Amino acid sequence: MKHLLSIGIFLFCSYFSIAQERLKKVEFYGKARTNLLHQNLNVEVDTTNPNKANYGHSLIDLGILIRPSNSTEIITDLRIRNEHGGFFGGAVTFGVRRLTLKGIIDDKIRYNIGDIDLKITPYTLHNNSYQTEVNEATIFSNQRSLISYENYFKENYWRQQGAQLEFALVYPNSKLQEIDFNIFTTRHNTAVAASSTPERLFSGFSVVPKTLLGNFGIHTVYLYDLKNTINDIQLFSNRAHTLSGTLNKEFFKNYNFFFETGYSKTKIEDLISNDLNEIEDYFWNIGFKTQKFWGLDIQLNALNNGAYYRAPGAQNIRLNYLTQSGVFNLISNDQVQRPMGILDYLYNDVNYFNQFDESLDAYNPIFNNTMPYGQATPNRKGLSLQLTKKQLLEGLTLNLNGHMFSEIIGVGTEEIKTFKVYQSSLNYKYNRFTIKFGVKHEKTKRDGANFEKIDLWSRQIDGGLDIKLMNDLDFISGIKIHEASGNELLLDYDILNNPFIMTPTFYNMKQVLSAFGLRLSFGSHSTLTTSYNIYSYEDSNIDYSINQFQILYKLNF
Amino acid sequence: MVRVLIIFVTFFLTVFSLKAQEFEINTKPKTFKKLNISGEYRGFFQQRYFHKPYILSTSIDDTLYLPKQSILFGDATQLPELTLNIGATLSNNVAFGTDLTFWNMKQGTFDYFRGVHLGVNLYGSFKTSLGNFSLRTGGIQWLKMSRMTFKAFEGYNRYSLFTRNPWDPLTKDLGERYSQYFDRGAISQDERWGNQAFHGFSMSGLGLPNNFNLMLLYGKAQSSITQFTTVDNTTLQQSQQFFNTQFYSSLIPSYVIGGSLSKNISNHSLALNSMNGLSFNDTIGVESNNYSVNTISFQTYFDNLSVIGEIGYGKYDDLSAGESIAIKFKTDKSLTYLPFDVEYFRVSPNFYNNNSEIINSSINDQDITQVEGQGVLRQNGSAILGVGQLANNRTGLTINTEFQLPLFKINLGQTIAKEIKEGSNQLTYGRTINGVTYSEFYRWQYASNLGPYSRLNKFYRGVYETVNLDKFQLNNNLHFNSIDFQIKHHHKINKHKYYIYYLGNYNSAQQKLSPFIITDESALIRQYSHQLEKYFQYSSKLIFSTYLGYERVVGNYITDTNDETFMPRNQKTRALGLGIDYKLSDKTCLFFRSRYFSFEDTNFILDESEGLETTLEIKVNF
Repeated sequence: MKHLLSIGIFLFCSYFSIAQERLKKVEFYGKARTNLLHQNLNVEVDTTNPNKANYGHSLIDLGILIRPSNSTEIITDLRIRNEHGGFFGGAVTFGVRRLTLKGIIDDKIRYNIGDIDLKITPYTLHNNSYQTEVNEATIFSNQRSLISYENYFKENYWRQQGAQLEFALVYPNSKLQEIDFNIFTTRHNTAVAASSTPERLFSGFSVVPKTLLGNFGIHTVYLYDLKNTINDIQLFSNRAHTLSGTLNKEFFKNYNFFFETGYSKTKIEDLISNDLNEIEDYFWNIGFKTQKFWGLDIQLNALNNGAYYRAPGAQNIRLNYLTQSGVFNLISNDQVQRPMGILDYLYNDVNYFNQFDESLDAYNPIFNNTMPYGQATPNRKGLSLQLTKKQLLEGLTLNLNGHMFSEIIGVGTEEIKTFKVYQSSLNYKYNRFTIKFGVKHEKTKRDGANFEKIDLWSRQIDGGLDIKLMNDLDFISGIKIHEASGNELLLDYDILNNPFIMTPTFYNMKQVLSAFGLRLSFGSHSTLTTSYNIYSYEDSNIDYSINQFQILYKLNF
Repeated sequence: MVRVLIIFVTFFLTVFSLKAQEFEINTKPKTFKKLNISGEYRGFFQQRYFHKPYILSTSIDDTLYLPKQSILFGDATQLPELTLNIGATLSNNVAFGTDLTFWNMKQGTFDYFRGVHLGVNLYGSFKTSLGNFSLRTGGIQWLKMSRMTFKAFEGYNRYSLFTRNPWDPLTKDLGERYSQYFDRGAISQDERWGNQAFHGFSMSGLGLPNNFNLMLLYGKAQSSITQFTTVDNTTLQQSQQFFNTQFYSSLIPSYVIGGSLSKNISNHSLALNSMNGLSFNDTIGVESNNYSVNTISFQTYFDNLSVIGEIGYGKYDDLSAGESIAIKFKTDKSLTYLPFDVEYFRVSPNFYNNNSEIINSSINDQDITQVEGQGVLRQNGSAILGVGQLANNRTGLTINTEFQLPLFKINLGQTIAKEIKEGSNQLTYGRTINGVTYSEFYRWQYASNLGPYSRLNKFYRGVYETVNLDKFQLNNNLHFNSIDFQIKHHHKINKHKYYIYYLGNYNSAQQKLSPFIITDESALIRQYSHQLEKYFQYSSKLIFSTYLGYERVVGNYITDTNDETFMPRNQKTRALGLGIDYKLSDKTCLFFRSRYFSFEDTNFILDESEGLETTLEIKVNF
């Protein structure tokens, strides 16, 4: 009975997937690209490692859209990839990136089966954005779009594999206008007997009543191991239930109030020792938006995230900071592992997480120490203020953010950390010129005895200048600067959210990535970009620089 | 909680009406509707039976022979069983193309291999006030610039038609292949003829101001060997797909960059060409293996005379720059009674470009035993080459002419060449008769130092032999003579067409200048080959063919001698073939070939083989 809902959804959808009529219409779409990179590494005293790299690939993702009937679609994306230099079939791979069945039952209930994109709220299911950009230049966002595409990062959705139902109830002539339902179950991982990993599913639902006063929602996500799929040793489960709402201006004049609150419970059942470990906690987040003063968009909110609030689908970091690129992996005659930086995160073969898991992944405090796991980062309380002014001048938009947070309970000590973040971004379009700028300054502090003291600051700056040279030809350029100094205790969390390793780490680093190039547009969706990048990295242990030339031809069709 | 949910959902579903939903696929992108798919099927069966099996290798303990009989289904090393060319034009200026290939060796496993042949190609074009530009990325792209920078040798269209190339196109008229060769002097070739394979980024600009045209290349040629790890599609994880470096076993650069700027002036044209190759011999990118070639090519046409040429210089690593000149005068028969094609060439020993028509015979650029996988083995060392083929460290003259007698078309050519400086102590020559047959002894590899005397090397659809020279007996640079002689005859008997072609290639390498090939012992190597083939078109659907080939190679005592006979090479190669071309239906043809082959070297007695090779090829174009 416990998992009847999930099984029911599977069976329900399976029935409809079988009862298809024969194919009536097939259409094609897709993306293709060629990405060629040439990189040169400069580092002092290195006679033992390669310092040049030249590689790339071409690929086509051919999407096939099959419409068996007016209310059913099957979508699949096939990939053919050819590495640069693979002649006559050498280094060619084939893949399938997607297989989804979509449809609607009796014009009332939508269903999706297979590869589906899911998102609920920032405290339940939410794929948090990148931490390595503030307001990135076009030349870099062009490249970042590849990372998003490859890892299925579409806005804040998670690509999952399972089934989903969506429907709505309507109440004509009533203050309660409609209630939207969203129910899903996905398979998180399969059972692997060798590693004692049981089958794990991820289920959830969202019920959102829409009223004249505003929208309210009840949301539940549930990540859980299925019993008896292997010789069980340990079973994990996590539930998070939240209530959210937005109140229209009619309710409070000139103010939009919003809130979300909820709690979570995480259980680990050890079937060998019969131990049951549980953690549970709550959170709340409340705020408002207004445009009442000086034409400014103002948003103020306060939050309190309990230290043991856990929602794995909302507490994630996209980038695996522990990953190491295979390009210039070792440098100098001392065979030092090259510290990864913003060039690697954008261009090289580092790993991004395209699935969440039960633990909090390693974070990098010099990129985001305040809210490393997104808005649902546990053990945080504080205030945020956001000011946005559109059309400050014609074509100019300015955004200012300030965040003041602190831990709720101390980690490894009774002292708590405080965090301050100041962030601003600017977009300006004037004639043929487009300027983008963003800066984020973050400060972390903890007082106490010497071993407790933490004092860390970091700064990220993004700048970009695009100039339209001709109708389809643009000069694009950008710069990214990242620097940090101070100390922090790097934390490794166990599955119950307890930090079990604290590594004292000292930072004194600066990295700069600058780039310029030409972008040629073919129609509305295809571009050829040639760019040159200059990257430098320095910290107290090692300095190096990388120069890079890239040709990137992207076709969208 | 779940129970509550079910009750909740059930309640709302039964009491209230459901909202009507529009069927829209939120994620549905803009689609295009038409994919162009074409391709070909090539079923290939081969049976080989040895009367005298070929010795692969010998050692003190054992002698390893090729199996006496072998059969093969599928020939993926040459062309896959099924090739699908897929492409779409997305808008006026954007297109893509790729292909899929499948093959199965009919071994009862039903395990179909799949791959691509030409890979992924993306196209784009744009118009500016400066001209029209088109670009292409990915590859393989078949491209050419000029003879000395980026082009494959086309020769003078003297070849045998009996042995079919896998890529030979099907023609609407079954006999077109043989009639074209008689009428026009050449057969229809596919896009790779005369072009070089290229992988990367290319851009061409046409109609630029003042009649200029532009071409730019950045990427990899076949000489830019890339080392990959084994790609296993069955275990490939999609999550790794973004990894740019996932299949590379080395990221050390190996690429070419080049370009051409040409200008048309009335009937004449002038072009500046450049090709530069960059690679490294070591694993850390220190020992460079770079070359650079810059040339001017031109074509001038007058009433009865045209002059076509290319002049340039090339630089290889630290060697000093070397010149390269090839100037061809083509006369009309109104001027010289017979049409002549006279070319003077001089290519410095230091001029190096393996992407050009120029064979490298003087610079030891690679360890040939290390070539594997997709690497293409090329001849190294002094080489006996055909008429008109350019090589570095060589200067000479090539003369070609053709004329027609009442029953015959005759064309002949001669190249007289010599080495500019003393070459290596090795000489190579390709086996003309049965060359493809021998290369298929080593179907799955490009290997060197093969055979009972470790003197055979395999390249794509051919083998060449390495001759060691006694340096102490050499007192002059090597000189080369080559003559090609071809007679073509065509007649009709009762509406049946006959085509008879004879092709003779005669080569010698010696230490003195000679106006003709040397036929005595003073030649280090003498090589004579004769190929006589006959095609009888019985009907529009059926053609019979016969083939006779004979080749003699004789070495003198400056070349290596056998340890037992103390005698140099004395080789005889024979071939006798029968064939049938049959048109099964429109765009579907069957080709049958049966070839008796034999080889013997009376002085290197282990190097002998004799057998019968039968092939059946079904080809379908769609």
